[in-house]
Amino acid sequence: MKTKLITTLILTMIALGIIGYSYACTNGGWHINCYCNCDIKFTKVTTSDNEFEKDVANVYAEIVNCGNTINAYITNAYPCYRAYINYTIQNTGCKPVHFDSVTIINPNPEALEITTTNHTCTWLSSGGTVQGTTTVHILQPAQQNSEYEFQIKIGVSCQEGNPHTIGFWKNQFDKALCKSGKPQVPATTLEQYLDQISPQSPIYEFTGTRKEKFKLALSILDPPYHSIMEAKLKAQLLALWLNYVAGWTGGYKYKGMTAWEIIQGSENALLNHTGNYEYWKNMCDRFNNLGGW
Amino acid sequence: MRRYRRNNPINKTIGMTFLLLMLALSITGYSYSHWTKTITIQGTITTAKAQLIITSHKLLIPNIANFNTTHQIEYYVTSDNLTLIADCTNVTGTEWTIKIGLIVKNNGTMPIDLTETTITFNITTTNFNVTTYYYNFNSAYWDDTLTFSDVPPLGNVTLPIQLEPNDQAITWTIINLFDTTQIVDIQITATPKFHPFP
Repeated sequence: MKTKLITTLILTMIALGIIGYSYACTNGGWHINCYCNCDIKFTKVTTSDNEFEKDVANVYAEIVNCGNTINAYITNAYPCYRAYINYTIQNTGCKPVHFDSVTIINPNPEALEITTTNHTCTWLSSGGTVQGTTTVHILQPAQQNSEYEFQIKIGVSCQEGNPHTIGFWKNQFDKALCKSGKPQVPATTLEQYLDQISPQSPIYEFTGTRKEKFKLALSILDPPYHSIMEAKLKAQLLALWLNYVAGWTGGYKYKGMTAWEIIQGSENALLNHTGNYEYWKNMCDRFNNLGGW
Repeated sequence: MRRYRRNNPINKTIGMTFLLLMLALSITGYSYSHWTKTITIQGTITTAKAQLIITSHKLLIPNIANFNTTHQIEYYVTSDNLTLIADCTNVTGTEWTIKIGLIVKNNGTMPIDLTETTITFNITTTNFNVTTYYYNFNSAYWDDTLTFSDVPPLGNVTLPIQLEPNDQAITWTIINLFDTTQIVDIQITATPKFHPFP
């Protein structure tokens, strides 16, 4: 009886642990931060139309449902009338969000032409805003004294990964090269990352066996303490490349620059020997630290 | 003893329950961790109504003795208030002339342009002179004291006449028979026409 009780207790504890872990996953991996969430909202909406001579139709819009919905009302509309709904979306969470889809649901395409800003495949940084416009055009076949409806659904998802520091990547290659501990990024994945970087970057070329590739990567990531600035830049740049191919840089910006822009700038500096290595090293370094890892 | 404990059905039940619980929680956690959201713009559009109706009508005949008995005319406005129909019998003689007056109203919710009053005949004929005069609404152009000879009153305007919702206008159409060949009975319709504005 006592054994059963203890077993049940242990199982309950494990189950509760899984719940905790699951909740932690909401905020990315093992990093538990209950104050960091993902969210976006409509924060502003304005309207206008194509009437200049005479004000016949009216358009009005309001934000409802805690910023999750814009309700737009167009009254007394007629063929050739165009209403413009200008909106602002803000990322109110602490992680970048990705716009996955923009879907227009228009059951009456013969009467209404609906166009809207396509945010698909773009990122919105934490605290950042993006503007969009939806245009409603009433077409000639629209029936008078009738009612039409439309919907636009904007689907977003959260960036689950964060940029990781150079130390993190050194640690992964260290562990992958049979040092103590288990890497968080599997060796196969690390090799895939290096294989993706090689053809894209004019700076790095990883060839040979997996071990040779890893040794080269580690030597770049961990230059001697008194090495020249060029080597330090190459080290931070490789870490940034690894973050980039891992998909952990989407939506993040440092000083208004995306990871890709910093990579381009750094590689141009290295290729053209412009000498401003320290600037780009710092840019890569700061970007790699955006995730706080 | 150990063997007995391993096969204990209660232990099996606990184990199964735990596994199922773990699976369910993992699925829940995994789903929750992949945060997605949909924000929506929803629109409702009501379209305007554009309509021009006849709110009042008159048909004046010449001040000639027995004209009404000799040339009987029955006229009415259709139930949708869009058209005046005049059934005319014994349409003969060069003195045969009628003057149709209409008060038209923008009964819709948007501005419209009065573009014309269309006169049609139920037979193909070129025996009539038809002239229409258009007026901004003013009782002077519709007064009950207005006689056959007073029409058309002075003050007509050129088309189109722009009418805001509930605005009215007056049209007077003079139809005169100038060639009496073979005309006996005829139906005449008068329909005010418009274009939505803008």
